[in-house]
Amino acid sequence: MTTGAVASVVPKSHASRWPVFGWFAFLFLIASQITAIAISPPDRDMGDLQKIMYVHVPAAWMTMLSPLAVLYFGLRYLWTRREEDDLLAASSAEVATTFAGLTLALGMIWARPTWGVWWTWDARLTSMLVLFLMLAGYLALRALIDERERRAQWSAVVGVLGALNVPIVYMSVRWWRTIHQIQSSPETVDRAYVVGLRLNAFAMLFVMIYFVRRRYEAALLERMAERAIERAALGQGAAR
Amino acid sequence: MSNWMFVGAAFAATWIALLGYLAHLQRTMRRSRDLFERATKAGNR
Amino acid sequence: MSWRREWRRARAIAWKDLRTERRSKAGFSSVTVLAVTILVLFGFALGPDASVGRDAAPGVIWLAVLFAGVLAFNRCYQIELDGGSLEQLILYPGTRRAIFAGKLLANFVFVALMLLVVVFAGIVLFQVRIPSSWPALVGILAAGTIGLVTLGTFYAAMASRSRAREVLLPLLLFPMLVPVLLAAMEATKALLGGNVMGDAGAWTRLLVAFDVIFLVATFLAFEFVIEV
Repeated sequence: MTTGAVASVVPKSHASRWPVFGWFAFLFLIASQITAIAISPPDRDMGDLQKIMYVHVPAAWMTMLSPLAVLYFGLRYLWTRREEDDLLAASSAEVATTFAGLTLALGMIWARPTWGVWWTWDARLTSMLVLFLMLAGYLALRALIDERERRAQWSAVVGVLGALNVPIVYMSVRWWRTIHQIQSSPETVDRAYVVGLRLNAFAMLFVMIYFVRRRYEAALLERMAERAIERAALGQGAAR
Repeated sequence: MSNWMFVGAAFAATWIALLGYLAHLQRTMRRSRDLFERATKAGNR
Repeated sequence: MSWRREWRRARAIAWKDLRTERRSKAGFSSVTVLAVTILVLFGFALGPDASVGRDAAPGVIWLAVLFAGVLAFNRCYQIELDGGSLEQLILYPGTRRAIFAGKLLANFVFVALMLLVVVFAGIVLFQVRIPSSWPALVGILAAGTIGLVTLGTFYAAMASRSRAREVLLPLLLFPMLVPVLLAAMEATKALLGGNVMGDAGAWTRLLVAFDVIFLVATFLAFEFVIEV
C-alpha cells in the first residue's frame, strides 16, 4: 500500500476534492434531466414515453461501461497483484450491479406501456439480465471466500471471463431473437433528442465515477484497518 | 394508465436507486472509518 | 517434447478419475438417474400435450443434463481435495494445464454418456421423432457437451474449494453457459424439427466457435485459479 493512497483517504472528507465532485455530479444530473425534459418535443410514436429514454439509456450505457472497468482492473490485478486494483475491480462490480438492476427496472417500466407486457425476451433486456446475474455471481464469490489473495485472484479471473462473455451473450441472444422473428426495440435516436441524451449520459457517468471512488475509499479504509489489526497481532508495533 | 405515470415511475425509480446506493455508500464508509479508527486507536500507527 | 509429456499426464489424470468413478459405480448411475428424474419432472411441468413436449424436448434434455452435471463437476475435484493431494500435484512443473485437461477429458466422458441416456429417455418420453440426419445430431451433442464440460470443470475448480459450493457453482456457471446452451438447444431443436430453415448449421458453427473461445480462455485462466 503506497503512502499516497493513505494520504488521500485517511484525512477528513473536506481535504479531498471528491465530495465536491459528488455534489457536482448529482446537481449536474438534476439539471440535465430538467433540461432534457423541457426542451424535447413528444415523439411521434412514443409520445411522452420518450422521456424515459433520458434515464433508461444512460443507465444502460453505464451498465455496459462497468464490466469494462471490472475487466480492466481485474487484468491489472493479475499483472500487478496490487490490492488497490482488486478493490477497484470489486467497487466497480458493486456499482455495476446497482446500475444493472436499475436498467432492468427502467426497461420494464418502458416495456409495459409500449408493448403491454412487463417483460419481453428482447435481446438487450435479456442480455442485461444475464449480466446482472453474472455480477451477482461475482459478488457472491467475493462474499464466500475469506482468504484475501485467493479472493482477489479468483475475482479477477471470474470478472475478466464474465466481461468477455458479455458481447458473446448479447450476440447469441440477438441471433436467438431474429431466428424466432420477434420485433426488436427501436435502435435509432431522433436527432432532436441527442443533446438531452448526451447531457444525461455524461451526468450519469459522473455519478458512476463518484460511486466507484467512494466505494473504493471505503474498501481501502477497511483494508488498512485489517492491516493495522494484523500488525498489532504480530507485535510489529508502529506502522510505516 | 396515463403515460406520464410511467415517466414519473421511471424517474422515481432512478432517484430511489441512486440515492439508495448513496445511502449505502455512506453507511459502508462510516463502518470502515469506525473500523479504521478502532484499529489505529491502540497506538498502532 | 513437453506437449507429449503434458498430454500423457492429462490422460493419466483422466484415466485415474474415470477408474475411480467406475469403481464407485454409485457415482455415474445416480447422477444419470437424477438427470432422467429431472426430465420426468419437466414432463409434468409441460403437461401431457405431445406437441408441447416435442417442442420443448431439446431444451429440456440439455437442462436435465446441466442440472445433474453440476454435481459431477464439483465432485471431480473431491478426491484431490479430500486427500490434500492438489497442492502436491501442482508442484510438478507443467502439470497444471494437464490437471485441467485430464479433468476435462474425464468429465467429457461422464457427461457425454449421461447425455446419451437422457437423449434416449427424452425421445421416448416426449415422442421425439429421430431424424434421418442423426449423425449430425451426435455432432451437435458432442459440441454442446464440450462447451458444457469446459466451463463446468473450470468453475468447479473454484467452487469446490469454497464455502456453499453447491450454490456457488451454478451461480457462476449458468450465466456463463448462456451462449453455449442457447446454441446447443437451438441447434438440437432445429435438427429434430427437420432443419426446415437450415438454422442447425448456423447454430452448430456458432456452438463450435463458442467451444473454441471458452476452451482457450479457460486453459489460459486455469493457471491463475489453481496456483492460489
